[in-house]
Amino acid sequence: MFLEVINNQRLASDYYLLVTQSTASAQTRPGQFFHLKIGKKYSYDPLLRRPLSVHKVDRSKGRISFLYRIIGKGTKMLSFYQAGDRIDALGPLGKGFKTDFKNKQILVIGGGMGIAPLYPLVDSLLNSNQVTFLIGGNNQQDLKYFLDFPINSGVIFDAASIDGSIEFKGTVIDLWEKSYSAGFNPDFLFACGPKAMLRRVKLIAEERAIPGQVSLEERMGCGSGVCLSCVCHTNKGNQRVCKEGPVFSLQEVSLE
Amino acid sequence: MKEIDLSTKLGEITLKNPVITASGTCGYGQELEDYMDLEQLGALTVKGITLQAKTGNPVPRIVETPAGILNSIGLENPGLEGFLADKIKIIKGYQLPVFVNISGYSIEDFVLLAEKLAEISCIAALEVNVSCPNIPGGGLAFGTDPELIYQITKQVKAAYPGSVIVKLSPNVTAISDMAIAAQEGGADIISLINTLQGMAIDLERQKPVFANTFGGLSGPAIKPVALRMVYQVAQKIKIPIIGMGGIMTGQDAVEFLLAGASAVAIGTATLIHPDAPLMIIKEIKAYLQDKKINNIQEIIGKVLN
Repeated sequence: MFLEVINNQRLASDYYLLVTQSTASAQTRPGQFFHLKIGKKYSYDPLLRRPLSVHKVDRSKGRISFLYRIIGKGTKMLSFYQAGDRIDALGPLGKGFKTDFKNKQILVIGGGMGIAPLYPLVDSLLNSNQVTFLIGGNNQQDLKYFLDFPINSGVIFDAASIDGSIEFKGTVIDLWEKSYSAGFNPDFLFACGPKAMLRRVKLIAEERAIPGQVSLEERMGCGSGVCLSCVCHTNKGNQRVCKEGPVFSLQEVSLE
Repeated sequence: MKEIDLSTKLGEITLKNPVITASGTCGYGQELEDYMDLEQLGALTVKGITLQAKTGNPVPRIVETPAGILNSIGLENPGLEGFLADKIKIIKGYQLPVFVNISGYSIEDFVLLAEKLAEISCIAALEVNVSCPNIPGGGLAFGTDPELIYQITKQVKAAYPGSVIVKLSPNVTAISDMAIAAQEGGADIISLINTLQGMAIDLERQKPVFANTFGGLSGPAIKPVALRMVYQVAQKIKIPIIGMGGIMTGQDAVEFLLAGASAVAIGTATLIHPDAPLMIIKEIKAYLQDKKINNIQEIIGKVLN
């Protein structure tokens, strides 16, 4: 299938928002990703596809958006795509977040680029649950897009930055611990972000017996489950981030 | 116009077309069923198995290189027992020939695997992997010594009544000597080539990217090397060759056929385009049509002296 570029816009420093038209929007679930072949049809460099998690789905317009950061050759080339260009893509791939909750207190925690895939999740939860959505990043500049993003008024939203350029200075975990843990024991939590952050989330969740899910990132090959490049360890043995993931049970996954 | 005959023979085995999936790039087939009709393939080579289950190497296991991939998967597989319990039933469901790739740490490992798999009738051939670069103390060590290749082949042949393919490593100075050793050991077919050993360094950590230091290079970057080796070996042996190494298109595949391969295997291409093998079959057919050739056998080995 192909994603047609509607807009590919620089947000801040290395951060971009890619809006595409896609027939796959109807079957795309929160937490899933697309695997994009960047470059000309017969170009072998970059050779592999690039996995991008879904940041926003607009079913009425048939649009799927991705947030990405330039970290190498593939994402650099992606940043040159313009409206009207087509991107060869596999997807939606992977298993998404669990979303069948009702009348629950739900905590959603995002760090850095890990914040991006949490928006469709928050969207799908907010009508029948109380959602607290906490995000964190290095500085105000990195978080600007997220801070400006319209959030439903029913969601409790707060942000932290490590350098103190937004009001709460510290990590998103510090924010949770200092401002949102007293008297607040969520029924379920979701997290996406750097491994170090996820490790702390797991530790705290285990202490307080909060069930949850995390979305993992790993160097990926095929995306179809055949190459076994992107495995993680769980109490069920090795699992593939591209196939059984990228969302895993916080209790079952090893983050060492 | 007459229907083009794409069928080819690998010893006793007849394939309806020369396109095979390479081991480790198609799982056990079912992973790719969403993307293609497997029955259109010439044959399927499933992920390599070892006697004991293996959890494989730590991540990262893959690095992209210019027009290539370095991998260090470390043969993650359910072991013989897991294979017999869970995977054989998948293979039984297929009509097409299925090749089972085996790896070991000792000659005894190979022989034990061959003995156990000899009891299973739905396997069309064993592919003996004497060339995995990613398991310490095994694999590659066998593939660089003609005497060991001869011994493994001979003993596997004695234990296994069906067709035996020997998959050779390119990490040697004289590939033909390895192929001759396999032929003398009784191999029915040769697979050429496994990955080329390489490495990558992480600039942040200032350490090798892979925990295992080295990885196996595949993809278009290695195609010229693979092609040269097929061409060299085809002149020295009588048994058929499955050519592989960076085949991305039908044109690439035709080059291998011209160089003397009786069939080709598609690996890295499938990781990028899960239906690549079927596209390649179509492109081979289109090439033959364009050249007004009705039988693929006419081009096999055509550039050999």
